[in-house]
Amino acid sequence: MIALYRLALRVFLPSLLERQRDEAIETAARLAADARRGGLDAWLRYWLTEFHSLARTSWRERTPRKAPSIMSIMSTVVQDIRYGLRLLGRTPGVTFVALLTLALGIGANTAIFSIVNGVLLRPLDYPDPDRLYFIQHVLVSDRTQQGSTTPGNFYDIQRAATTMRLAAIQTSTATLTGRGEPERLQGVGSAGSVLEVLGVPPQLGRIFTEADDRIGAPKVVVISDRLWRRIFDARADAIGQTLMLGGEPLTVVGVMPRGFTFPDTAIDLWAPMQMNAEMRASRTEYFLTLVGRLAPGATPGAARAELDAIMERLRKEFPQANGTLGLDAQPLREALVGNVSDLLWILMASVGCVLLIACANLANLLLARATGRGREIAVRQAIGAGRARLVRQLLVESLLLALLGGVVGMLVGKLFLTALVAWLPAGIPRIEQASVDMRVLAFTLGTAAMTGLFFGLAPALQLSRRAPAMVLREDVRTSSGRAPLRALLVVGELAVALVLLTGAGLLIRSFVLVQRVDPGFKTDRVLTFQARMEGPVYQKAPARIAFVNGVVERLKTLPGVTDAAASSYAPIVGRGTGAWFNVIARPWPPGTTPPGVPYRVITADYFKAMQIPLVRGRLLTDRDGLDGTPSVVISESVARRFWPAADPVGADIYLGAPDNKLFDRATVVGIVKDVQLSGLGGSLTDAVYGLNTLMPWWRNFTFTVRTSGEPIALAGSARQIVRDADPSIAITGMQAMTDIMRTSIAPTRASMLLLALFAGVALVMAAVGVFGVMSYAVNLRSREMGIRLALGARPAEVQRMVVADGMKQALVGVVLGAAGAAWLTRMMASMLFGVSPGDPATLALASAVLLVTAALACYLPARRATRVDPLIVLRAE
Amino acid sequence: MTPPLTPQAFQILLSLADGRDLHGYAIIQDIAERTDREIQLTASTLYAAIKRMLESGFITEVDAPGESGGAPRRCYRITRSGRLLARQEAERLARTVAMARDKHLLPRKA
Repeated sequence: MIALYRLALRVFLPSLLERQRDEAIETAARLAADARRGGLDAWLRYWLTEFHSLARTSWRERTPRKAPSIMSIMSTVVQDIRYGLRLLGRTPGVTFVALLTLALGIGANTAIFSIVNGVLLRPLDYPDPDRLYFIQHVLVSDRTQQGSTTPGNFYDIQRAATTMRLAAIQTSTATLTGRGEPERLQGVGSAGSVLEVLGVPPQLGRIFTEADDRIGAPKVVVISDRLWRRIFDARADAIGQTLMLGGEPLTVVGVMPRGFTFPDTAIDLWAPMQMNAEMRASRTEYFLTLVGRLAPGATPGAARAELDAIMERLRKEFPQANGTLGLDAQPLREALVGNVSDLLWILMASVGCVLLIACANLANLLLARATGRGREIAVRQAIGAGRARLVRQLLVESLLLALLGGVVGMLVGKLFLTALVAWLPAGIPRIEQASVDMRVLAFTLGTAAMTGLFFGLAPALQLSRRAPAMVLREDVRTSSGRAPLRALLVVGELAVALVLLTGAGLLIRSFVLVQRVDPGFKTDRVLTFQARMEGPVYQKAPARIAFVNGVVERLKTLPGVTDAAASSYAPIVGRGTGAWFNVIARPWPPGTTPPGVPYRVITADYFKAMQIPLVRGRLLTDRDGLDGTPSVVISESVARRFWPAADPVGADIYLGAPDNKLFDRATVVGIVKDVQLSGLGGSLTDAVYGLNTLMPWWRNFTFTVRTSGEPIALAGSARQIVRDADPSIAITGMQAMTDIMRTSIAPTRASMLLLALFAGVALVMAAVGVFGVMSYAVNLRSREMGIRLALGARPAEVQRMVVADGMKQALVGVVLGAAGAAWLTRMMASMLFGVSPGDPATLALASAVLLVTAALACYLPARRATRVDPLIVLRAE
Repeated sequence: MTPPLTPQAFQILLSLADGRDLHGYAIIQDIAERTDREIQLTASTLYAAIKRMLESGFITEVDAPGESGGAPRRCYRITRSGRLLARQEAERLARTVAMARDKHLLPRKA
């Protein structure tokens, strides 16, 4: 407190001699000590009075200073601040509007930046995160086409690489049994040890190592903090206990620390895959993603060169499997964040634009207020206030306002952030990292300061530029009403608003178009859920077929069910498996890599249950499996791709590699309509459908139940049927097909709504800006209007004149904005569907909306202009 | 024209009027006692006033009579012109009081 007092004395009473200051401080200390005897209360009251009286004294003591020292500048700044505060208090309406605008604008920016910061900027929570890479296959001909790798390739690359330590992962699910209801957990299987590569020490026990991945090593698992707390109540004796996962006992050897996630937050288990020798050699099964850490001293460039060299060798050694493939190492953070970064930066830019518009409006508001103060300032100038001093005074005022807005905006931003995180659709990676940290704090304060400078500079410069004598002599009413600065601000905010409107318009059109996409099947009144057959019971194919077909048959008997079926994956969700496609009569030339095609393992009634229409041939029946006449049905797109001119029906095909076939031979018996496999608006429609009796090794099925009523009402009965068939099987993803559809478009919907919100706010603010400037101009010109009316101008003409004046500005703004929009919306290309970034129709519509709004905003002041009573105006002279 | 004398400054002069040399804390204490704590100066007010009165020559600084320990403390002593100023102010106040009596705001002196 004493130190604070010393500082305050220096600032507020700089004229006090050093010695006097020391004495004053000593005296204050003694008085404070006296007061302290009366309790903390009295002590506080004493200091309050002390500081208050100091401030009052300083106000009385202020005298013109000769040489400005740091102290004297400080003290004049303090004076400016005091003056500014009083001024803000004197116009509470203006202050309130300004603070509200700022708090909302800065708050929205803070919230979005918190997300950008958490998702994109904050480093990953692994040691040396920048040395971690995701490595995937890419097509040599098109490096944007990424895909998984095979165990054979992985082990070769791992053995050969000297610049990177490598592991491979596959995310999957496993059913936990023996601890209450069976439940499905998400896990990561690792070849090599991905935990060693990441390098995060466990909070309990140990991580698994490459040695644990050897064939025949004891089966172990490392669990998440979350699972540890839930299942083991965070007890240390969890280590060494057994978890029954997928019917296999796994020993818990370690618990990862709280907050550890890899590759995403859903994962609770990490375990070595322990593939058998045959699988380890496979070159045709693509399911692994490589994770690598640069070796000490190795550079990314050296690592990429080495990976390329290794891949070159693998292409030559295994031309059929690898002929078209290259390797691509992507920084882990980039890979984890994926395409969200585009969306986030666009949102950040949009919300920044909103703040920019808000600033323009505030600048106009302050300009108007400052013009009212023109005389005061002219007087101060006339009696000797320097221009620098005046500009500083005005800047201090706006900075004060901006900082107050920043503090409130910080709080508003925290609220916005909480609401936004809860509202945003699931699946934004690292969203849990979004919080207000030091960087966000710095961002907010920086934004506030920049804001203050931006909206404060215009009025400050304009006012101080005018010669005082002019202002004093000038009668405000006779000024021309021209204000180039104001016009500039309005043009600017209209341009920015148009960019936002166009962006929002593009997203809205995309959304509408996406929703119009035909999914290829009937989506309403379908219940779906997944079940995975695990454990020794299902080692043999007949058991698997019996379970799936049995459940389907019993589902069909439920009242309210019109059809039921099962398939390896539901459409839309974007997951699935693919295999090389081979027409037996037309073998691919040796040494080339055959094209891959997604395939689906289904039960016979799948097309009926999903209502996927048949185009040619026939649908599948129970006799089309291995035990009958092996047959498949293909989608129209597959038919077009492999038989552009011929009829595929009757052709024999197989899937897979010559030495690793999914089935030896099956006849194409029918063609069905394309179904959207990778979400609405996704590009994936190729599919080969075969029965679960043709590909009996499949274990993981999505059941689809078509109902006559509300599908989710049957969830309980469906669950019971599975439980009756096998109580050890866990059910996941019980939901209506329409929910899957909704989830698939949720990100598009969310970004559309956010951008539409920002654009809406921008539009309203731009309208307010135009309105404000036009009203002001009309006020200034009321005398001119009066004269015009008195001389016989018709009100309609005056009105037209005012509107035309305003619309000139609006047009300039729209032209500039259109140019900006055409250029800036190119960044949105990846978020659009069915509409191109520069879409002229959208741009035209957005311009029209903006112009109409601007016209309305001009019309109101224009109408007032015609109501000017010429007599009153002229008499006022 | 005599510069205006604030009530605080007048009280400071009063504290010093009987010729005592007082340091800042003692002045505040003295004023508080005399006025039944009605006027309680803060350190800031006091030293701002002291500085002004030093500059105008109404008071001077003197070294404190040897106190034990601590840095040598400054005491303040009233000057001739300070005493004159205080007397003028007192007379002005007396006249003011007399006027108040004439107007029956206060009882006549016994």
